[in-house]
Amino acid sequence: MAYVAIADRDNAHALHDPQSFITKYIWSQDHKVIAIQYTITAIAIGLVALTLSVLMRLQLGFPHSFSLIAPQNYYQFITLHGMIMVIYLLTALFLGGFGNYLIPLMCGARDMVFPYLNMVSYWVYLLAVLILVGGFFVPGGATGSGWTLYPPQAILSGSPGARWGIVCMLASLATFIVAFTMGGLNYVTTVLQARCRGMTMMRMPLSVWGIFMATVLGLLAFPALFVSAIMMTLDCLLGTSFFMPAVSSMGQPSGYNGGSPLLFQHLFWFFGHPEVYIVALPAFGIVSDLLSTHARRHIFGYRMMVWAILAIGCLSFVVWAHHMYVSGMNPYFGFFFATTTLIIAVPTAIKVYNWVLTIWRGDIHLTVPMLFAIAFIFTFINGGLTGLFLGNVPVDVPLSATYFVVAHFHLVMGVSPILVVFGALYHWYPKMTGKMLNDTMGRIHFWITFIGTYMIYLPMYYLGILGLPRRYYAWDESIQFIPPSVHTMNEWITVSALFVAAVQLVFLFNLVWSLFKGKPAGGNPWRATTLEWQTPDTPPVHGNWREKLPVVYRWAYDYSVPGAKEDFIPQNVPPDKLAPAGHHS
Amino acid sequence: MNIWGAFGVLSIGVIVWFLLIRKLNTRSWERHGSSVHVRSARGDVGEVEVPPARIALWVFLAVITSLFGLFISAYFIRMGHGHGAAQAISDWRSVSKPSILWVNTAMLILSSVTMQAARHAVKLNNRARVLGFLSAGGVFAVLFLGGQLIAWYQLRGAGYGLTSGPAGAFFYVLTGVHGLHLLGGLTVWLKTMIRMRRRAAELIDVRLSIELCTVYWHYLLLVWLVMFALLLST
Repeated sequence: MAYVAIADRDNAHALHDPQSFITKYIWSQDHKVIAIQYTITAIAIGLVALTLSVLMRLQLGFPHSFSLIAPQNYYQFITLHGMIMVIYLLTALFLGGFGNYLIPLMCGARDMVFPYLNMVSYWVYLLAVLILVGGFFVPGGATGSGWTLYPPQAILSGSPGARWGIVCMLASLATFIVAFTMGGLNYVTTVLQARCRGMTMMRMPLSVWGIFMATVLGLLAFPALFVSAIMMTLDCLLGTSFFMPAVSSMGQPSGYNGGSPLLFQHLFWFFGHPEVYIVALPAFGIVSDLLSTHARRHIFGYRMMVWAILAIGCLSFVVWAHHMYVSGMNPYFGFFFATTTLIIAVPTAIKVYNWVLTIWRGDIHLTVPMLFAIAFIFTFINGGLTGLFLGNVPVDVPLSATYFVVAHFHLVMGVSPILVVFGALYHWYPKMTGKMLNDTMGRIHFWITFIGTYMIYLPMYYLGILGLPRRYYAWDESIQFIPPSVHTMNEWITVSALFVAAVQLVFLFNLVWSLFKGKPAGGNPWRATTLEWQTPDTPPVHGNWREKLPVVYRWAYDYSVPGAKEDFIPQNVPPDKLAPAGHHS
Repeated sequence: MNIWGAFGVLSIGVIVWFLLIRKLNTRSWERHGSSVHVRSARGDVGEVEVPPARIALWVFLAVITSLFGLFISAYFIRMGHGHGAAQAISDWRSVSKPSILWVNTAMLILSSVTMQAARHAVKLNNRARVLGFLSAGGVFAVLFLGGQLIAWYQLRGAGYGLTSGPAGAFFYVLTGVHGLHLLGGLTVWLKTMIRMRRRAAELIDVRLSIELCTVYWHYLLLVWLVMFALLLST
């Protein structure tokens, strides 16, 4: 008998549905429940990061006004804010959250191929988050070495948390990587093996493509972080000298000898740059689907979009040293990396053009998800174009370590993916819960977030061109080149940041309020073509598809097909039966 | 140059993926119907050619290729650190390699060979031989791990502790990480053994586990041979 994967089983083979509350919602092996667990945990730890950023902005806008923010606290906040946002929020939310929810539903599978491994992945992720938070409570507090954790300062006694904080951070990262690898094996294998009949790779929605490629990048890039975490832990606890050069710390010889801090930088950025695309590719994919659905128009250049995702994925492994232009590298080395960095802009620009051409002359519905998707295009262009400045060595050298860099990476890999996260939550919340999110609250949330982020980050470009160095706790009057206007502008940025942070509470309130009071959504409120909107139940039940798996007959973007009765044709409508079948529920 | 090595090893993983993804030129917006699907010709929905666990193992092998590739490139970079710079002199001092490593290598090769024999015995449907070879494969692997521990003690006894210098530290880390991966393989091996001993389990139930264990064993043997050559030559 041929092997039948769990994800492929028809109802006759299906596992028994979990009955008790615990197996249904806590120790659950259902990909949808695990996705929601991932999402809630990621949002919760993201709120910690948001709070930290507010505290940092308060210090920068109104220095010396808050006695509770000492310099060492400020550096701990920087470190934890960066690490949480990049890894524990964005990576976990896009791959663990949306990846888990969307891959089986969009591919027409009943579940991930290894549901048990999937469950373990979530609980190990939770453990990683707990170890990370635990870092705040160990003697010496959390590490304050900056999110890049550069040695030697990360484990020398001058840095906050140099003894135990850094160990917690490294242990948490290693744990996270284990969790991610378990999840990642699942996502990749599910995409390759559990697609329903008719769902060829080139019929997959771009969301799945983006998540798939990001997972591949993660599986190959996270080992670099793992390697550096292991070797740094040994340097820190057992006194090896992998990364630690001979230094004296506070007048005392440290006992380290001959290690290479640059080796750490290479390993870290060999992970760190693909990480940017681990976050960006799912955002690219999801935003493509949002734009297409809400503009009622097929995605422009689908094949090119897939190629671009693959090209970006491959190129992302050969650009890492553009984070290290000021490390004293060989100029030819810098030249090579500047070239690859500019080359990667080509497939990225293709994607941007295709998004714009997708909504060009489309029947644009300015729903909340669409607003976020369009805001993403704006923000991504803004952040991306400044990447061209920083990608060129001679321009980067003066701008390096200024607020220009801060503005660039926040817009391009902070705000842009977060806007997609919001758009995606507004878009798929109706499928997850059966209720629509409140539209008015959504619009308030959108406009304040969107305009607010520009009020925060556009001035930072200006500050960076003035030469304002980043990572400073405060800029004293004695620093001659900093004009007084900088301080006024910092106050402005802080006030804007407070508004943006506050309006996120509206969003959180909306998430909870709509669960009880939201308008019933029906099965397919956005009249979308992809499979997750064609499930017989909303929210989908365990096993997703009742008796029969769907069969796919067309690509995911049959919107406004000339001659069709409605302006969308779901993927599972056979060619001989062109009446839309999107109203199951 | 070492950076290029790192890049080379890792881009191979990406390129393999790239080659796996075929049919990128399908005009998915033109063709309707489900017949284009590779699997649909095989009859029932849900019958798959390749078990997901096999795919997952190969993906996992790509992940640990990346891991060991990075460890090895870190080894080279750390070894070259200080060379060529005017002011610094490299602190790299080779360590004496315990001769028991040769015995360990033989153990791991035997382990791999017996696992392969177990896999072959599954094809012959010879239950007793499967059990025998499978047990032998595990025992040889355990002997390998024990031998590695002895090598650690001998090395420390010879004055090359973890903090003695980068070459010694790398020796412990590389062998340690490799040993942990083998230990992970042994837990799967143990589960397979328990399943085989339980009741009258049929060979078909453990066929896949034995196959995947064997592939994993061969892979770890390959990693060890590369690492052993590296350690001997530096």
